Amino acid sequence: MNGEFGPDLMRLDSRSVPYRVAENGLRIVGVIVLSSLFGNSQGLSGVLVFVLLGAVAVGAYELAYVRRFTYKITGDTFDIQSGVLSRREREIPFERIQNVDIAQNVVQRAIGIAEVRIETAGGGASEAQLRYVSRGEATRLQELISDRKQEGTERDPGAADDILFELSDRELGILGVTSANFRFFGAIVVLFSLVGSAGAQRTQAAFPEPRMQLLLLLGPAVAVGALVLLWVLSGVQAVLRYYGFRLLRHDEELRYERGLLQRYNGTIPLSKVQTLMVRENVLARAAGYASLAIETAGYSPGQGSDSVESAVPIAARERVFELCKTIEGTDEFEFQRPPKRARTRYLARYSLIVAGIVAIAAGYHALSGRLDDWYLAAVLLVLVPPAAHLKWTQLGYHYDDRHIVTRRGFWTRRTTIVPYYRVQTVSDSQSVFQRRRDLATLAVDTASSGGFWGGEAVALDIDVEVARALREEVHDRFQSSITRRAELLETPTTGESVESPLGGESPVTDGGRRRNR
Amino acid sequence: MSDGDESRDSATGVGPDDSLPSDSEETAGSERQMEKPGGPSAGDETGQPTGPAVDTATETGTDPAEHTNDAVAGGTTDGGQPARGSQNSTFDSRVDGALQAISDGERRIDPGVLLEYTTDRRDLDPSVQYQWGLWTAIVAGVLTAFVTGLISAAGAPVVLGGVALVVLFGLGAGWVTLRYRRWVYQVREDSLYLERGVLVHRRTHLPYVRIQHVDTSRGPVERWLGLSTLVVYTAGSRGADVSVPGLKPEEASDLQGRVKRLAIEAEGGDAL
Repeated sequence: MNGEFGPDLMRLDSRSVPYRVAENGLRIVGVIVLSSLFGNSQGLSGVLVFVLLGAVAVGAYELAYVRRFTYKITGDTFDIQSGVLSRREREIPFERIQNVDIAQNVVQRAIGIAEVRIETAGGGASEAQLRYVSRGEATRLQELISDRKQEGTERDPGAADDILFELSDRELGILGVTSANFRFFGAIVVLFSLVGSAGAQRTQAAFPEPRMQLLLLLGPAVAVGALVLLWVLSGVQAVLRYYGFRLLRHDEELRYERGLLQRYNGTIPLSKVQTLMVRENVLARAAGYASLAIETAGYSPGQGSDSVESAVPIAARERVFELCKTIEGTDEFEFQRPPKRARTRYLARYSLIVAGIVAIAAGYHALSGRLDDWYLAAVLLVLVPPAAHLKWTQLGYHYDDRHIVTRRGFWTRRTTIVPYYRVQTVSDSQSVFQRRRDLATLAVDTASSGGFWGGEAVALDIDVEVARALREEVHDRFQSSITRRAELLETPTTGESVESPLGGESPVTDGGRRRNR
Repeated sequence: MSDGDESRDSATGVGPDDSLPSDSEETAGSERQMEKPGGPSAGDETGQPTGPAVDTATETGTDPAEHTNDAVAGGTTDGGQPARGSQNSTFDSRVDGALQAISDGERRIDPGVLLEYTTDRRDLDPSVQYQWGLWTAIVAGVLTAFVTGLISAAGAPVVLGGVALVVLFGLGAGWVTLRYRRWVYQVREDSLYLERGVLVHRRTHLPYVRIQHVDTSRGPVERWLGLSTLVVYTAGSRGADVSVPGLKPEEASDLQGRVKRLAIEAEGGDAL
């Protein structure tokens, strides 16, 4: 096996030198030009000399960087030696690699180079960034790493990749329309309709002249226009980002590719999947669509949302849950809702918020003498009961013998699916307000790094007894699932003869889990 | 409360009935159990507490090999309900359950290790109140100065600052006392269990399998007071480090040793 992949030293593609020079050089030249323009003290020749010197320095540095960057593939590690002035040698064990991503923007595609990023758990950034190798080499590396991760399984070389999901044009269109941030959107619309109507009322009293009224209404109109523009832009961005999305199953890995201008191509080993999260914003939910994020421990929280969104951007809801079934072996979810008394909490909370708004309006009126109709803000109270009810309707939890699933959020509903064997800690908590109503919150933490909302399954405001029972239950199930996994790992599992008790009827996950270490 | 207890009892009662050796019977049993009573009825409050109990039975039905273990686990789940009196006896029953499971060959932890390393529910050292009290006093002092400044600026009598002082320090003292009283930790058979929080009561299970590393740390105030803090790290996304403050240094290193040993003994963890 080792002879096949000899430990040859590999280098970055030589075409990456001019690209890197252009990439960094442009930035530096831009700074120099700007500073000289504003400084205005030196003549044109001085600027030119500066630019030339800068270009030479950048060129030399980039050349050295590319020349001194080597990597090699050994029996079980991926080794990198890099650095121009301070050298760094890094060895990454294959079995610890979480994701291997390939990114290519338009220029890179024209030149034929690609960036390869290798993620492991922990650490603040990608463990390895190869900038840049040729497209063919990138694919070769991706293949090789996924082969090495699955050492010991007989792989059918002729096995074709299963296409699990392919984004149709229709779905791409829906994605574009529904990709706005609706929490933000809704808040702004409510605010402006309020301010707009109050403003119109006031204007009528203060300025009888119709032209002045028009002027004052212009503000809200511009705001609405900006919102529409924002919507269109985020739609276009989403379409560009997810154009041609495909999710494939390649042995024990999921692979996806997407993007119109910037092509993106990544791997998600099934054995590394931590949690699944289904997201549906108001519009998508109304249309019966949802998105699915498959979360691993690979990406660090600060890393751009670009890389974290590594799953199905939009699909019919049934399709998404079908995919969950394929990936994690989930059953149907029957969500239990929190008790009805939980709504009184939101009622109280939102009423307080409205009271705060009224108080601010009153204070403004008292100080400035304007805004005579400040008490009209209390009209917002009408919205409180439906808002509290809507928040409550989206809450829920479900558990079966393999997963705990929680759901929350009105503007964007997030359904988090956590397999018991991925649990890190389980806790329940009770705030002062929850204690008065015998409610509690259950939080199941995992190691997934899926952005701000990711990682933790939270069952909000459930009955305190249920929360405690569930805490013990989840913990016990976690322990027994771990024991079962340990047994599986001790029994040598070559071939597919042993049926996994964990994923009985989910063929996708069987092998991956056994080889988790 | 009574509802939940009843159903849990009934669940343990269901256990043995379900332990039929035949595979097909098991599957049928589990399918039957999967249909939860009360169904998906939204907000059915009486139906909810039965949930966990029924599902314990479901799991029992899923895998024949697991049965004995789960029956025991089901029993200990009842006992494990915290803050409901008779803590020591319930704890004993948990250990007994675990020992039983070991003798059944279900668990791999050495029974000796288990008995030696687990603890009862323990409070923090009382002197941790001085540690917290010091910080609370500083905060209360700054706030008092600020409030007094505001009062004098507004032209009100400065004596009111004294009122603020009393109120703020009173609140601070109450908070420190409550915080100390709420804090409980316990080295259980398979997880570190913590109870804490004044405004938000929080109870956490930290399974040994998930522990990445264990630190003890001592800040200057802690050194002065003769205290130490144990910090346990997991790979979790949020609250990945959990600390147990207010331990005597020897207590802290003893606890560190226990947790370390149990973490080493615990098998089957993920390497992420």
